[in-house]
Amino acid sequence: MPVVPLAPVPSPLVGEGQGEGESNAHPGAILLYEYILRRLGFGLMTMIGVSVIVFVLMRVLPGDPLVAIFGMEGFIKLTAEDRAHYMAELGLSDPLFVQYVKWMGDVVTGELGRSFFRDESVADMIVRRGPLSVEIGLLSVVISWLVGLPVGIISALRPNSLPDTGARILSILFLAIPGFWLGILIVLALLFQFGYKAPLTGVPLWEDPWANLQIVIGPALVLGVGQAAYIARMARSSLLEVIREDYVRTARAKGVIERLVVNRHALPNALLPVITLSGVLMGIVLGGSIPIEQAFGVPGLGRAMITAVIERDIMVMQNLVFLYSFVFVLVNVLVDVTYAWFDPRIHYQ
Amino acid sequence: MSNRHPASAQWTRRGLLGTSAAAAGVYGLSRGLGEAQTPSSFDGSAFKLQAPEPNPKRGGVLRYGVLNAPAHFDVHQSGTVSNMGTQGCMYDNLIRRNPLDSGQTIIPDLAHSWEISPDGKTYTFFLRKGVTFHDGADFTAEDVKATYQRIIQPPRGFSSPRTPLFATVSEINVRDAHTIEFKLSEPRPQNFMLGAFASGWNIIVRKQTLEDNNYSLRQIPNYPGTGPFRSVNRIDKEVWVMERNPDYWNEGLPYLDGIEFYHLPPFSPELGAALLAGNLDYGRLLDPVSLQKVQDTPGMSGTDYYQSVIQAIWVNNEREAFRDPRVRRAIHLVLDRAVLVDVVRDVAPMLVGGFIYPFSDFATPPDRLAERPGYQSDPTAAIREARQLMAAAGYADGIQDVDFMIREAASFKLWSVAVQAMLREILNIQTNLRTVQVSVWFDEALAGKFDFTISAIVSTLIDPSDYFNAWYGKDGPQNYSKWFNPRFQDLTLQIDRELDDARRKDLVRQAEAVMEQDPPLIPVAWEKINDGWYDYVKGHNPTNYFGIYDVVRFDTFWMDK
Repeated sequence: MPVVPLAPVPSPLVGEGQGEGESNAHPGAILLYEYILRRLGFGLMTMIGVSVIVFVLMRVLPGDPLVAIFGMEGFIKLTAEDRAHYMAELGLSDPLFVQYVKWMGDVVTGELGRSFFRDESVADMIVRRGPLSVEIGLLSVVISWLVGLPVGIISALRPNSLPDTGARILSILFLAIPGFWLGILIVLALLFQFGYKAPLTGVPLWEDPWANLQIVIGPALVLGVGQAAYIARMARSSLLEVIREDYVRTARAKGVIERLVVNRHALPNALLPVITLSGVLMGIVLGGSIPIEQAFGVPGLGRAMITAVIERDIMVMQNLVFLYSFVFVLVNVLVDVTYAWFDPRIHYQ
Repeated sequence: MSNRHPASAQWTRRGLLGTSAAAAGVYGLSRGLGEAQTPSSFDGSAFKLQAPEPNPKRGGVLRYGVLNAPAHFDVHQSGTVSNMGTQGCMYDNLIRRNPLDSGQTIIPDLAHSWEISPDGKTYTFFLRKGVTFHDGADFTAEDVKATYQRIIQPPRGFSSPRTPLFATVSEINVRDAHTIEFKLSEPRPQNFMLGAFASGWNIIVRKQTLEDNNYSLRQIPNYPGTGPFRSVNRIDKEVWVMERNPDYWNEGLPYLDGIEFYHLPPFSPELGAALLAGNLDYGRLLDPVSLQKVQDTPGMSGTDYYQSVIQAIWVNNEREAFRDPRVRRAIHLVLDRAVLVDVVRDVAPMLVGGFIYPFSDFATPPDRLAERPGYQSDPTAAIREARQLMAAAGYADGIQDVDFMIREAASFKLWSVAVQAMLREILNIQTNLRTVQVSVWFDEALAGKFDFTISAIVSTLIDPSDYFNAWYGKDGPQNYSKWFNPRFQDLTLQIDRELDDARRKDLVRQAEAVMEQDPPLIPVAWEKINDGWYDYVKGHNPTNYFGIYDVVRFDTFWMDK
């Protein structure tokens, strides 16, 4: 991590000696700008590395794409010339370096090529399916905070009490339960108890919000509850640590009521590691959404990824893996920047 | 709730033929051997198809769940329900399987009548006038010729599993705009040839369409047909929306205003859930658990029927140990097929059988098959013979390190574990299981990179002349074992040419005996299909389908609501 906390000082984001009327400007403002550029640079280098790895992996995987497209019977009947023709048509007969450069050119222009099957534009597919996956991801983060934070706070404020014990048991339970399995159980329970199943096709939020919500709420709930367990545990331990700090003790000694002590002094500082954790959890959301979209039958990008793997559709696979990597890197950069922005103790190196 | 369609009791072959034949003078041709005389000429110029029920209602959109993610859209090159399940309703054939009697007979389609010359070498079809494609172009014999030339004499880069069916067609002549004849170099059984023409795959496409697209339809989802429905909108791996063709030549059909084909994987809980929750009106390829639930639900019905697929293990004949027929027969003998069917009962419906479709007229009757080693309920004799064969072949101590490649699917994975145990415990054949994705499976199987492999293959016809050549014949496209038996090869040639039903059946029996002793593959089971629907969906009868590729027009479907 390029962000290194200096020695703790009794002047956190909103704490003693930094009232609302005081300026938020700090001498690190220019450094922060440089820091963001540096993080973006690291992110760019990471993406280049990811693109090379993804590209190479797609080429060394076993299985001939022509066999997948034509089937064995069709493939057998193709002459060597036919095979060469189709490989050229698919863009797979160029030297690997040329293929890579072409792909990167497509990525930069947003073209992203076409699926080997049914000739669908990958960009169109991402535009059509992406919003559902994004909604699921964002909604799951919101759910994780809405569920995880209160649970973590209650646990921290009443350690070893019955609610704390219950919350910890539930946290461990949701950490242990595989999301896709929970998803299947939810689908079956809704079906057999209420005769209900979510709509079969993707509906954009702006066209039919109710139908859209029915599609995304299940996967978001499963992913969100899973993340909430992490959030609750992190919030609990962080808050437990913060409320033992001197400035919290000072606030209490000054007669500040407990609600304000927690909300104004302890909680904002305890949230910093939770923000970092949320960025890491975004990776779990991205990876976890693939089997969970499958379990719920959501026509999102995760499901498209599974189909592409089964069909060995190199063009779809490499673009989706690259997209997921891009989102993961971007979220982590944003988390780093947000962390640094919120915490003036951070020194930018 | 019965597992048969509510109307099926009324839909006897005789009754249905009586209904439609009385109305339109239709003659039905049986699929099986010896069930009906094949007329050498047939006049169906007054033929008109209609729903079997009185007063069918017009209107409504059918919501239908089926696999719908084909690798391409060229039906002629396809072999999957992913194409036929949806595209079948956009096109017509020359002649077709009757949807009212579950595909048991052949009825007119774009050809209203036909004649077969006395020497059996010329098939003449008389085509309807006034039929138009969805783009407004007139349908003529030139379109039929272009379609069949494409199938019979494939252009470069084109490959159709149906090409071998027409291997004896030497000429296609357009006699006039609405008459076409197919000349054969030598006669073939009429049921075989008419069955080939009636195959659902052989849809008629427009000559101009083929020329405009350089004879490649792989990437075109909505090339015009003459069928009862036409494409409106398709969202890949989600839904394909079709609307009624208002100019359909069969007056009054179709009854539905449209169909929405939802992409749902076969035998998946997702498909069953969508049907049971009411998101679908009809689901094809239900898993057995969902079918049971459908049959237990008031207002719903479901059935199983035969599929044109064998599930089998291919043993690589190019490996030294497995070149010996005795070793392959030993493996064949020790598989407990009843157990294997039971192993996957909650995943996919299956049927015990040998090397021939067990439900066809050509097959050894089930009671007699059950007396044969390898199919008996008491496996003692089969196991004893298998061990003797292994010892005689020099493998009394078994065979080690056998690579067993498994095509990724729930049923294959379940079977492979059971087969592994059977072979290990009885013959001490030690297999190493290796599961691969479908695309990799094709690659590896093609290259012969396996000792054993388990998968499934499909045929177009129930007639052995089709699948004996494709599955078991030398250089057959699905002969993954690289098996060759000169006696079998000779018998297959005789079966192809023999016009007498009884003698042909006898030849099939002889070929079967050869395969029992020298197995080209190890039969595991024969697939069945489950359909489920709400009772308000009328005008269909899947109880006796042979496969899911021939009766997919939806023109007689209607909804009673």
